[in-house]
Amino acid sequence: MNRFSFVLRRPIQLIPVLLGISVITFLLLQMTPGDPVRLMLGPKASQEAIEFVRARYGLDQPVPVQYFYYVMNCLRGDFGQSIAFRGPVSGVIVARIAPTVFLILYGLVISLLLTFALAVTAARQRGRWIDHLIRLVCVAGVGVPSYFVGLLLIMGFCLRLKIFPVSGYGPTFINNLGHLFLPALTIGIGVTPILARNLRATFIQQLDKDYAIACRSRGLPESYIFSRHVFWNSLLPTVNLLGVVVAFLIGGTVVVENVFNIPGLGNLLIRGVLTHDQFVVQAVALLLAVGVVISNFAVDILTAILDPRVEL
Amino acid sequence: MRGSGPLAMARLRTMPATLAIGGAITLAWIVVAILAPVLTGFDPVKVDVMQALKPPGAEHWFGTDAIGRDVLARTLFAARYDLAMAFFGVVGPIILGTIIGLIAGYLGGRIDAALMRILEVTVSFPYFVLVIAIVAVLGPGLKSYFISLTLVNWVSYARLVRSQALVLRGVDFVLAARGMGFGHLRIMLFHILPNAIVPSIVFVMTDAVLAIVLGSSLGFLGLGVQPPTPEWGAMIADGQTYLTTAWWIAIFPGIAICLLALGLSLTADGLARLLNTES
Amino acid sequence: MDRRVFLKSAALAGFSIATLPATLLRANADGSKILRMGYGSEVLTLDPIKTTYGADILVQGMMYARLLHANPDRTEVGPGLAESWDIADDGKTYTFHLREAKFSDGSPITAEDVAFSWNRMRFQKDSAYAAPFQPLTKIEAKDARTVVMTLDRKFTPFLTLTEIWNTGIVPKAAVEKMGDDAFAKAPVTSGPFKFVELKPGDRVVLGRNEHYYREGEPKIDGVEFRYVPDDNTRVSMLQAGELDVCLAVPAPRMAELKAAGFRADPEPSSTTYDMLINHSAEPFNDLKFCQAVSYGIDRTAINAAVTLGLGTPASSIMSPTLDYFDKSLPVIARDVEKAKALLAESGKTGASFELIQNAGSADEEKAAVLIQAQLAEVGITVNIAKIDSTQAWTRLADGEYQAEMNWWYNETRDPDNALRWCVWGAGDNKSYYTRYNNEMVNKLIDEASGEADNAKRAELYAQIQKIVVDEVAQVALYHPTWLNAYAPSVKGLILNVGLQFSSIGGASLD
Repeated sequence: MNRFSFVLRRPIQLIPVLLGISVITFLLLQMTPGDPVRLMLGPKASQEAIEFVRARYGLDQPVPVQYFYYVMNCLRGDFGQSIAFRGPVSGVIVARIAPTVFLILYGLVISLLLTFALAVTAARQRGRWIDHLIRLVCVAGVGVPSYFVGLLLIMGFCLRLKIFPVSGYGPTFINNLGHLFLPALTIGIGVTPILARNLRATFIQQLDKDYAIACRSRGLPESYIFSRHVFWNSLLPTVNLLGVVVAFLIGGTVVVENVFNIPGLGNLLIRGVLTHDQFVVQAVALLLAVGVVISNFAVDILTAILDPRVEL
Repeated sequence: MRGSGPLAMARLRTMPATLAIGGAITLAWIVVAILAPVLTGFDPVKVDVMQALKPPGAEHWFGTDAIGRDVLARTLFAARYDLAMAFFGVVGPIILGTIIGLIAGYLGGRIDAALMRILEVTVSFPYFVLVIAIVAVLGPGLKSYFISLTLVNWVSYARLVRSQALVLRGVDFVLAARGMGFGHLRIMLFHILPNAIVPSIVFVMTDAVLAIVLGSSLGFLGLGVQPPTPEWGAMIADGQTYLTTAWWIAIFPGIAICLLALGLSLTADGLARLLNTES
Repeated sequence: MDRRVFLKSAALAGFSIATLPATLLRANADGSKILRMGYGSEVLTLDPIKTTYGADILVQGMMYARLLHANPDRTEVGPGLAESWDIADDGKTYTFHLREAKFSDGSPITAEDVAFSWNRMRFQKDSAYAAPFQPLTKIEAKDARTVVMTLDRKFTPFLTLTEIWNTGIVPKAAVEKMGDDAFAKAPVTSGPFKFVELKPGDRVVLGRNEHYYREGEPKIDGVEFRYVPDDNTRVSMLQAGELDVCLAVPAPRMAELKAAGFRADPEPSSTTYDMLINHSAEPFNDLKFCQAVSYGIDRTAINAAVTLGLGTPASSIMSPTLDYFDKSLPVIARDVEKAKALLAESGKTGASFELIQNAGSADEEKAAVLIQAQLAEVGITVNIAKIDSTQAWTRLADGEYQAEMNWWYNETRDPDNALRWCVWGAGDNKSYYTRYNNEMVNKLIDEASGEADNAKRAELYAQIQKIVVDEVAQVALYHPTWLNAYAPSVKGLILNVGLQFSSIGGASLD
């Protein structure tokens, strides 16, 4: 069987997952007490106007009927109307995808740079003080809340040193390397400890393997063994871990986008939940879930490429 | 199979330093939480507008907040709630996850497939979002937090236990037990569970760290404990406005949360070494 | 890859990002004078009749011209799109004479457009805030330049209402052609600014309206109204030069901003911060209990702790910035003994109530915690329930609450719509959902709005204020000021009591 035939199976596996997510989100939001229309029209809106708008969005219909219409509309490519923004959900969401994707990828790049720097140093200096220091930093780093890191970074870099902008999302790629640097760094700091510890452990394992010992006995320099063999052989477990990390990052953007005021999906979602903007929450939750599935998928493919023995 | 018993008692004599230090820090926090009323003469919820925003000094060691509450007292008392978040934040998930993992892994077949679909849906949800949505339904507070974490976080334990149970159900002593006519329940509880739970025990400490971070993030976003209850995340949110003028309101709880998380992380690291499951 | 190469390139990448020139990262480096404002809630619609939501009101106020125009601090309303007006002797017919003016698309603003806009606002089913215009029964265009409005009774505050945001003039042709929804997304405007772009939940961009009727206005090229939900992030953005105006600054940060050279002076507001109580539910269904709570609360301390003295403790239910505010009313001094006695008289000794507070509002939380501590000394237990604002509003409107932290402001300086909003039991909102209903007060409010004589109105309003304070219609706590901070480059811009930038036309940006 073709090793990559799973590519075809994936989309089919996705369907029950998405259905499950949509049902749960729908039920959760239905169970949340409170009327979204009242909030959207403001405190002084008349009862008559509120009733009128509720009816217009079909919020006065029974729940199963609402869900039925929702699914039927989705199949036609209509993901519903945002109650707060009074327009199609797609219009609200599309502009928000780029900042979040940029943030996650940027965070990933930063965390990988940090991870490799730390893990390589620690493994090469195994048992020395720098190794212990890195380990300690990694152990301690797991529990530092990202909102706290974000606050301190804003204090230091934006207000004291004035190197980076506090917030937002710019029009160009270069622009955003600056705008999103601190948020991405915050995210990166969050996941680096886990990745670096794992990578170091793998490096050490590989360094003790027979092939490495054999190389050493043939008089090959340590740096050569490391960069030619150990490094590459250690990538696989890290790539596997990456799948988990990306899912974690997708969740983590919610807090970071809030602290740094980035107009992304996480920000929209948290507001959507709090204002009971049903269809916005549905769509974003589904989109993020697809993101998680795609990233796992990418990890599977990477694994297959890196290790021909892997059965899929 | 792992040594004589699930906890591999024999290895205890070589206790890793991280476990000793981490355990000591964690224990210290537990003591602080219990003895909080003894350690400080101040009431953590007593407001005194005349004493507002006092910097750290002889009377108020950590200063006071915007309505004159003693920051030290609040930081110490908050340990109770944050430790509770760490503890109950993993208890629910580990019970639910272990049950599901055990059933799925041991029984296999359709039950396994069905449970794994549910697991897949839960994993694909953005974690934090699901928690916020559940808290929105149930209203802010510790109880909703525990319920939501249980509903969301069981997946890690289910996965760990299931993968162990899958292997264990085919090993000799389990097959022997079946041959002797033991019931499924008995085999699951007495033969599979003690061995399958080891990786979960290691993971539980790391998970407790994540539970604290998540719980305090909710507090930070205003969805945590009800005021005036002291909680570190909520205290940091309170102090955010004063970061430039009265830094002590946010910084001390910030340090506290990092310290507790460090203690738990070190314990996790040490436990992993002790039980030799790092790989 | 070689390790050294790898590490070097990593270091290089980090370095080059860190040294990107700061100017490159900022928007609006092209020299155009765009005023960047940050606010804590987002713009949801640009149709002036469809909302009563703060961010919408602020932005719409800069987009649509009204019949009358307010001076910057709204102490006076004078000619706007209406050059002049006549009021019939019976006080029931208003005739407005329009000036020559154009919409942002260059089409003329006619009496037809005015009548259309007003009829929409007054009679369309989903018009959110028609309540203050109850006496208005008919609006017609008499000729191209004249609009006649008919009221069913004598109603003195009417003229001041012709300035509020939801009476903004929209073009009949465009609205009818596009439909309400499409118009709200790409509106044609009549005010100082035209619509450029709306990014939902992020920002609204406005540009100069070249056709604006006021000569030489606006002086700036546009406004970018940004949604920055986190208060402290918003302040940081102002400090970092990413905003020119930071609206709703937390009180503790005002002094710091002022010291750093920003214009950060409190601006008068018509807001009252209060604890709303449900008069139809236990335990507030008893006057003595309400009074016990009122005497048990220390308004001065709450004002000091929350506004840091930038507001004033409440004596009346009305803000001191409103006309006919009764200066002779004293701030109720806290009296624990009296409160205890009243509590005993009410027979509700040991009573407790749930106080709802909006999640995420630091000010409300502070006030709620103080109320809790103060009432504990009286012997009343307060349980604070922090819930999200969607739920809070719904429970308030449905009457499923005991007490809630809240605030309200008034669009005009005339107190009529303020009182109709918060203590007029005959209204749609049941006295701001408190279910307070005193026939006497309702009658006095109607009487005062039909009275043309200033002195007599003052007397009637004093009477009303005294009754509603005595009967604790709501527990008014303090009157805050608008706390905004402006970069030194922003000149001539203030926010007025009615939450409007009436000064935007004359404002400049260096």
